[in-house]
Amino acid sequence: MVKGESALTKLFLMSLQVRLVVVKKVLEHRIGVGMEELDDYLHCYRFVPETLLSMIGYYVDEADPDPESLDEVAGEVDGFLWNFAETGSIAPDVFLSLFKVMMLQDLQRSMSKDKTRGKNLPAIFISVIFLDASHPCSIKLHQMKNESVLPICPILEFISTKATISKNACQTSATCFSGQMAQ
Amino acid sequence: MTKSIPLLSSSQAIYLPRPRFNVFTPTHLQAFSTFSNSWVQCGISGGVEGFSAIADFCYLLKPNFTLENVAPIRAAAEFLGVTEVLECSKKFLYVNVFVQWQASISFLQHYRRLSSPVDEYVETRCLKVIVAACAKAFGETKYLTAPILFLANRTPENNHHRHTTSSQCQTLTEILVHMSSLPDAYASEAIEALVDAKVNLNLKCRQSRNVRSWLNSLIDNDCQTDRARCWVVLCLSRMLIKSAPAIRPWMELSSQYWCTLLEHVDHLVTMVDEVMKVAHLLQNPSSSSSSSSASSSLSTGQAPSV
Repeated sequence: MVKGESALTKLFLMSLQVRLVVVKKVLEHRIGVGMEELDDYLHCYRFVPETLLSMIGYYVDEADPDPESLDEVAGEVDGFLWNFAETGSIAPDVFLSLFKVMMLQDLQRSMSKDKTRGKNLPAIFISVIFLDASHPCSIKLHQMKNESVLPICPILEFISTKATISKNACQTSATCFSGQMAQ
Repeated sequence: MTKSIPLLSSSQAIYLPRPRFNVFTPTHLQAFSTFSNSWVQCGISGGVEGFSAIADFCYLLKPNFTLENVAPIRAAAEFLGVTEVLECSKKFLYVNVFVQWQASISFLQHYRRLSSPVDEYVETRCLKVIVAACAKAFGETKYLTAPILFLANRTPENNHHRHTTSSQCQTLTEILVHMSSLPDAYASEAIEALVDAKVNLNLKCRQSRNVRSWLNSLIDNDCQTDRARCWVVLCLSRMLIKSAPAIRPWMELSSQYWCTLLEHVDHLVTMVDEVMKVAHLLQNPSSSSSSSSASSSLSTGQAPSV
């Protein structure tokens, strides 16, 4: 009897989970693709990192964003990353995925505009570097955020390991860093 | 002296006095003849209570309907083909149960299925009443507003907080909360019907701070269980998805509604995940020796709140 009840509970939970996940996917898609329609700050909402990543994915893949709105979204993601990092509520893989999505977008944009890359670092990039704000390099970087040369800091090393980015790329400049990621 | 009718079974015979008029048909006699040691085993829908009322009716005693016995009596009447009782029970149900959504919800909350056609009769009508009331409340609610806390008639005798909001919005909130607190099969069916009802949400989910605070208040405060929260969120999300345009812009002026719902779905998915993990651990204790607060509440025999 107890076994039967627990099996029923499990079955009910599974069915509820399926329904919630289906609805979640649709909402993520609609909000992600329609991110430009938001009249509020995205970071006002308490989304978990995976949800944010999923929405950003839809936005980047399907919304065909213009540079301005991309900047806005980068700012929003930046706000999220700060929050996630401060509360320790993001898995490294998700963090890197979010980072990569936004960095690749920035790279494509700057390549198409043929700007001097590295001078317009997106906010997200800066926040990654500040993750270890106690590190002297990070503080130095804060002062140098409009410079093209980036020193090594622990988080960049971490990223280079995880995302298979050449360490040299981090040592030389933001431009190279982006370039290596694209490769 | 009145003659008696023998009701024969293989093991025993039951004698009832002959009724004043003959309502028994071969079907009745066949049903009666299946009596064995127990009344419950007689195979008549509605059980002892229902059969007893029908037997009384044969002796011109009208059934005394209550919310508890109306379904069993109706089931027995339907099984035995006693149309007069069927009519009486229908009247009772329409006056006392199908008359308003609160009564229908209360009836379904306590309803025990009888494996009889009366189940469908009662459930379908109750759900129709509830869904119609909810759709109407959506239609009548112009703006969604969270209740405002204020001190009403603060006197030494009456020193308590009151909540206020527009009466339409309050009604909508109440229906949604009660509907989501129904047993799962009913809640699920009601939601399906409400989604299919194509309620116009255009005005309701328009942009304003109130929309978000209403949703938060409804889901976090008004719903008393996580299970009810899941149903409310599923209901509102599916209604929104159904009524949104198929092409962009689909969130125009309602992005707060969309994002707040996703926020809650997000939270509930994580929560259900956790509960399922705990349930799995309890079933397979060898897979992990660690315990959590959630697992301890389950192991003490308490049902999970989802």
